[in-house]
Amino acid sequence: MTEGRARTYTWAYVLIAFSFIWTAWNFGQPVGDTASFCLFKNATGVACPSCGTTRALLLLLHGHLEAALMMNPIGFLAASAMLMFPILYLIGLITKSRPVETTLSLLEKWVRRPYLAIPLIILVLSNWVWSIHKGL
Amino acid sequence: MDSQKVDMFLMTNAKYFEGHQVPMLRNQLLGADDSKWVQLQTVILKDPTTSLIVSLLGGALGIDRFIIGDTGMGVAKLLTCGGFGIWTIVDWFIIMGRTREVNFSKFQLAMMI
Repeated sequence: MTEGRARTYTWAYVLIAFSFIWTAWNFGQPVGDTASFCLFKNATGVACPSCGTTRALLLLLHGHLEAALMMNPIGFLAASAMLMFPILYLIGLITKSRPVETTLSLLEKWVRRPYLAIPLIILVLSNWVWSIHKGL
Repeated sequence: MDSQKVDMFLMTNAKYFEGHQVPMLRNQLLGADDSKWVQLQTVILKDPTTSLIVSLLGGALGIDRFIIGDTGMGVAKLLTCGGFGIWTIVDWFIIMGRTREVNFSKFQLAMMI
């Protein structure tokens, strides 16, 4: 693994760790405006493509699955990632392999393939349009 | 490869690489044979300044990462709204260096084929 790649993976860990901290911090609070300091929203006035992910994730954690889906489906993606990461990390500790890095590089290879990339782009864009329509 | 070609390449393309890499590139090119010249012409190098501008304007959507070929990171950046905004700001500072890194890798790849 090159030094650049290793640094990238370190940042992935930081990102996931921050997601946990952010979720935990918001979990104890009453439902507030989680996007009050969002750069994109403040600059353009509309939702960014992942707007509502935190709120969706919190709804999911409280058991409101349908509401979470309605808020932003990406919340489910975030939940899967936040579930997978620690599991892969623990597997890595036990088996002395690097499942986190392997999975991440596999995902990166797959997401470049046109048959995956194009539907994903369409999904993300339509979700974004939906978010703006919902007035998130 | 003859030094005139090498110097011509470097004059046009030095800005796409880190300063300290240029002497290394020069030696590599001088040592390579002329057939590599064609291969080298096919390499598309990304301008760090363009990356910076894209990062400043659309960094929150990960467009800067997509442009330099970091697809996975671009997706992650997009889905986390610029890494909670923090990554967006961090990238404003590191995107130029990262672009030069990517350019260097592309160059090495072309030289190996």
